[in-house]
Amino acid sequence: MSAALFFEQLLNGLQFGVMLFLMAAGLTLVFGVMGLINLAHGSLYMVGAFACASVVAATGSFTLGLLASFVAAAFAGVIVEGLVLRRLYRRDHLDQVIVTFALILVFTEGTRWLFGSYPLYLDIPPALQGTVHLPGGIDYPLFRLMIILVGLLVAALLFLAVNRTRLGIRIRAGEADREMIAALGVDISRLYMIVFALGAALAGFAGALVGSVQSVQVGMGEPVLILGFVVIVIGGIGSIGGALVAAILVGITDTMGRVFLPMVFAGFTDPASANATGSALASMLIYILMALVLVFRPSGLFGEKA
Amino acid sequence: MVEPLLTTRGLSRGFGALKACDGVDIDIRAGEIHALIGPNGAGKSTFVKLVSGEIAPDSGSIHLLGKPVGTLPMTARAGMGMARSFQVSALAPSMTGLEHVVLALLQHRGGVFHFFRPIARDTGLKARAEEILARVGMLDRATIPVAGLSHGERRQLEIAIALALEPRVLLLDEPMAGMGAEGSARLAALLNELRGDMGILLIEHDMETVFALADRISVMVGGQIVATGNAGEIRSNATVQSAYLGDAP
Amino acid sequence: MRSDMIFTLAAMAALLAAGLYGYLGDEPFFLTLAAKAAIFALAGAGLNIALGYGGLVSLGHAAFFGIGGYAAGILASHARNYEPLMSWPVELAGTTSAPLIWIVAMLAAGLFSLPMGLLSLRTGGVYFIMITLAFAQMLYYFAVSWPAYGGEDGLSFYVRNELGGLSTMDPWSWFLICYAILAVALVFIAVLTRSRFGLALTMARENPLRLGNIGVAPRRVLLTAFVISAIVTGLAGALYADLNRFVSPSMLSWHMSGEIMVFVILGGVGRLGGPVAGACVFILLEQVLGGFTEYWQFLLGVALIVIVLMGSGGLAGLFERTGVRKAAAHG
Repeated sequence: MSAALFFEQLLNGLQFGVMLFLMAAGLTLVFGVMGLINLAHGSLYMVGAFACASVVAATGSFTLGLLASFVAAAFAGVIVEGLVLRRLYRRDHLDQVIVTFALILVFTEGTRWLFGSYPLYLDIPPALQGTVHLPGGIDYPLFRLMIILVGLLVAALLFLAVNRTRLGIRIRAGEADREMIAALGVDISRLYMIVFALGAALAGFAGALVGSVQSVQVGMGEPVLILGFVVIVIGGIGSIGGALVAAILVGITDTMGRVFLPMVFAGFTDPASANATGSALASMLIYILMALVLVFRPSGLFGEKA
Repeated sequence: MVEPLLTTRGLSRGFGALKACDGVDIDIRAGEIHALIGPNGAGKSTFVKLVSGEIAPDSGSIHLLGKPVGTLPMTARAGMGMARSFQVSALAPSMTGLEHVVLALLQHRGGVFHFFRPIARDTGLKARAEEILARVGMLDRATIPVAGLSHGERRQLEIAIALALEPRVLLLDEPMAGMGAEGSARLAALLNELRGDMGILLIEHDMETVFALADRISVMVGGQIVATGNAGEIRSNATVQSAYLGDAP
Repeated sequence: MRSDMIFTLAAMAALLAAGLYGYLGDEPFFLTLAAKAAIFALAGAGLNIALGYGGLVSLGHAAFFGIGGYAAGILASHARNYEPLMSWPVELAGTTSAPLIWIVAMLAAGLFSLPMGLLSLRTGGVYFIMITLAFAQMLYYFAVSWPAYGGEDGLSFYVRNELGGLSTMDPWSWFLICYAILAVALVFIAVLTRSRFGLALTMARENPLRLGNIGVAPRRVLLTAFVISAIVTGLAGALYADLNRFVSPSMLSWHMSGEIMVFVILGGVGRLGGPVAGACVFILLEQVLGGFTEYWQFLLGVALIVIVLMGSGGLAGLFERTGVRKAAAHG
């Protein structure tokens, strides 16, 4: 195993982790502020990806596409929140789960109806194609590097927004005590809508970025949603910092596991079964990580003690 | 002297800057009614939560029947013979009073991990539960789901559940609150009957009841016990006069 | 309690009538649908033990459904290849004996549910939902990436497993087998909910603090219910594999977990007959709406949203309310 390969995979893991963070941040914000568990968060990720693909196809501008992913997901979020979800804040978890599951069906089948079942592929703009020469003799795709930087930038902005702005203060107050901020005269339903739209926009943006590297297709959101849950369980509910650390941990663990576990097994079994065992184990690695966290820190690495 | 049923020594628990319990030493002797009084916010309910195991102490010890139980879970303490009524009723809305009492009885009758025999067919169990419900005056309301019971009836059911556990030590956190004059009188009479069968810790605001019932009284102010003694001693205690009784209307 | 019994009997009678219609009208496709409804009802009845009676919102029951399915598929395929299941430390051969397969499926599902339940119940609440979902997904990815039993493509076996002298390939016999198992399971659940354990489970759902206070650890009660629930759903998985003579990772997918939950919600959470009615309605919707459009789940989604937002308690709730209104009209 060369150092260059290792470093390259580390960057891939970081890129994956940063995207997971954009998903998990919205999930944990919405849960922290509104007490809502939103399974349809993955659908907003998909909406962002399809919006980006459509706008790029129509205009040829990737920048417009990214902007569209942000706006479309936020818009879808506002509609869903206003029509359906705000009726669920005071309901129990079961009602929330089943309604947001139903929303997944609506989004998934609706998208399939509009766009068909075949994956769409986005062309990365020429300016972002090619590779960058990094110190240590690694050639790394420019676009992936950009995703890492943009993701980290958004994460930093989110931290600033939550910790330094008036909106952020309200959000944190809302996490602490819903009645209190209502008593302070904050328009709580507007606050909820803004928080939801923000979470949706982050998810949609992540969908567009990941869709550009991989493909845009129906049902792309749910595997990421479940990983978002794993991130939250590891990081601790309601902690954005915990979500960032956990997302990067999950991203790197998963990526490294997939590349290196088969190599490890190749050391002592024949290549075919090493590959099979290695990749099967790698696919379970982050869940094993989650189980370990649950055993030793049941409320997550950064969660408050239950 | 016979060893007390329940002993706490230096029991403390804080919430942030507030010391809700600050070095509390209390003994509950066999067969006595031991009242714990004090102004609101004195830490009486925190003390009950610490003793029953709902919350963990910061420091100090709790001995039940001579054994240290400070780190044991609530269920283990219940299994050793400690029962508690809740200040705010903790009941299952869809279950009837009878079902609550039957469930509590199971603790000393083989536990709940039996999956096949219908509980309705266990007539001995039902008879015993009805006996207890009659004792607290709830027999005629036994088969109504808790959701349909009045506040006072729920308080009576709380007592019935505690009795069904056949406890050695009974912790009663304001059992008479919201019960009405008739209910309170009946409960006072019942506690009088139970005296001698078990050690009872009674938290109660009504001084008349306390002075009539309690064998000993401890006064708690600001998380600390300021005096312990019989009714006469507490009445004449200067610290209590100034700190507590003097302020009472 | 009584209206729950009547509702359960009505739902079971409707399912039997559907089967009879298929048998007398000589419509094997209809009979297969009825058998599928019975199997889905069984899976839902399993989930209902955790969800309805224990209040545990498990989004991971596809794991048990899939484990049951793979247990059936793996045992049957080994028996047909004449390859032993394992040769060390003891030689174990596959089998095509249905009762043996059912027992293995139930054991496997129960064994997997034990650590899964232990870990998910450590914190409870919303964590429980996420963790059950995640562990089921882990199993899904494992099934996809493990090539020995078909990986992503799944595993086919060509004949249903054997039960005594019965011809399991005959749709009518097969329906009756599934129906009988469902009936036995419902009787078991009815007995369970009336037992000591059932009483404790209700308390664990409605007031865990009180349960602890009377000397019973709520987590032990809930974990037991979760394992029983997994065992019943695992049995349904084994039957489903036999129905299709095929298992694939899709039985383990999060979508399957959601569907099992939909059976329970449509019929009525915590009602004995709820999953039966829910599964029947689900199959009916799939056939009727699916006839109009291949995007029928879009309509299912809209319907579910409306049902839950109206807070109707599913079909069983509807049944109870009409029953009450009728009683009021008569009285």
